[in-house]
Amino acid sequence: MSISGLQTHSSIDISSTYRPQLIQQTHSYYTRFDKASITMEALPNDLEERILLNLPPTELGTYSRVSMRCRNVIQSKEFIKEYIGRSTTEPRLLLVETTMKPEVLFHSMYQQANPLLSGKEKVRIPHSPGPQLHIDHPVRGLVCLSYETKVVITNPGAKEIVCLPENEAGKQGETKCFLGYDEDTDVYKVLCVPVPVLSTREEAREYQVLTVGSGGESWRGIECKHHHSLVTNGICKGGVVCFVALSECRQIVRVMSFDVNSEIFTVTELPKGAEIHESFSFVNYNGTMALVDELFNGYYPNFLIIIWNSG
Amino acid sequence: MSKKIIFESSEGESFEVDEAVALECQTIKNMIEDDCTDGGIPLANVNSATLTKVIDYCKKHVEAAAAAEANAGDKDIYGANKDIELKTWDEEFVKVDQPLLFDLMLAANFLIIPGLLDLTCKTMMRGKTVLQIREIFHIKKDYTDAEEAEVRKENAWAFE
Repeated sequence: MSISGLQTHSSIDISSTYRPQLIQQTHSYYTRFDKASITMEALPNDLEERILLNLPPTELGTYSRVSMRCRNVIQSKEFIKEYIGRSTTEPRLLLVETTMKPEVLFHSMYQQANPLLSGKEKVRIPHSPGPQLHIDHPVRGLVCLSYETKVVITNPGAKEIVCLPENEAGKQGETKCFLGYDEDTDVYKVLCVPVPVLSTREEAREYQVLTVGSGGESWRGIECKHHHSLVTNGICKGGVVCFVALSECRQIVRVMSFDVNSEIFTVTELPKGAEIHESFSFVNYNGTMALVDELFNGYYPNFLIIIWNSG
Repeated sequence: MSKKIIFESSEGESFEVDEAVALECQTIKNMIEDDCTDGGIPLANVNSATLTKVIDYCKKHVEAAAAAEANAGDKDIYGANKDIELKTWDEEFVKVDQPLLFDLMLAANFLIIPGLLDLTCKTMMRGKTVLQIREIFHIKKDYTDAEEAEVRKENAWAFE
């Protein structure tokens, strides 16, 4: 390493001022661990938060029982925000089982959890038997489930269930619901769109939206300039819900997007050369939205994937 | 030959390590960049037992990173087996008593070794019961029985 005269001078200057600084710093926030008096509050540099952020959700439950202060830390808005941010990056599995019984079974777990199937973290939701049950992609750990007029949001990890007001549009015709989340405004909304009629029932033409957690929640009808009906599932990313839909004349399959914040529908252009049809559905592919054709190549278990980069 | 850095523990014991190993600590990296590590680095608040462990950790991770680089492109479709090996090593590494774990966490925080800090934080409270946490961190139970029952109910999903 060659050092010019000027640099040598400057480095001497730094070392003479830097060394005492380091030692001083050492004393101010790294005090010797005295085994008899260590407390969480005395930890430097938000270490408590760091420890808690690394705990699985079930153990946070344990910690909240330790003392009132511990519980307040966990229930603070800042902590919840941090924790969700971190936990959404952890690989997690969600098993959904729809059996012959009129119920849906959700089983949510961390991939590295051991044993994998612990019997904990299961949630059962009863529903009336019928083909109309729709289970949406999870959005930040929440799953929206709808059948006929009933709409339920569940947190399979915490085993909580919230029933939303009944959706009258579901009476007029078949509908499906999606959960959407807008990061900027921290708002969850449920979008309800018509499904093409397969039976003798009329096709619903109403689009409805409900803001979750607003208190006295209710469904509101919203306008859509491009009438469409839903074909497959939807997925929410970056405040936009995307889904595969049929145009009004029922001849064009296209991708619709719904902006959760502004509540505006738009027809999304497909990448050049990409063609989709009714068997395409959205999946989360390594954090990116992708369209998958599960019927691609007939009976072979192949997938055709179109990576979707809406950003 | 690679440059050596000398650490001095709180007991005054000297530890000589390769510069590459010392560079795992962000705090030391800054000092090396500022060229003020001559004559050793006194770590007045890290004792010899802790420092030995910290150096072990840094050495292992430097070696693992070098090995990973040498074998780059040699991974099978299931990802890196080396990663699993290092993870297992990490898990064994933190199987120490609670006071040493605490010292390691504080040292990692002071020396700024993100990997070790995360590792120790992760292990600190994992699998502990309410009573154990109260004992280790000297937390007094300030709930009334009724309040505690309420919190228990609130978090019932966690205790099934």
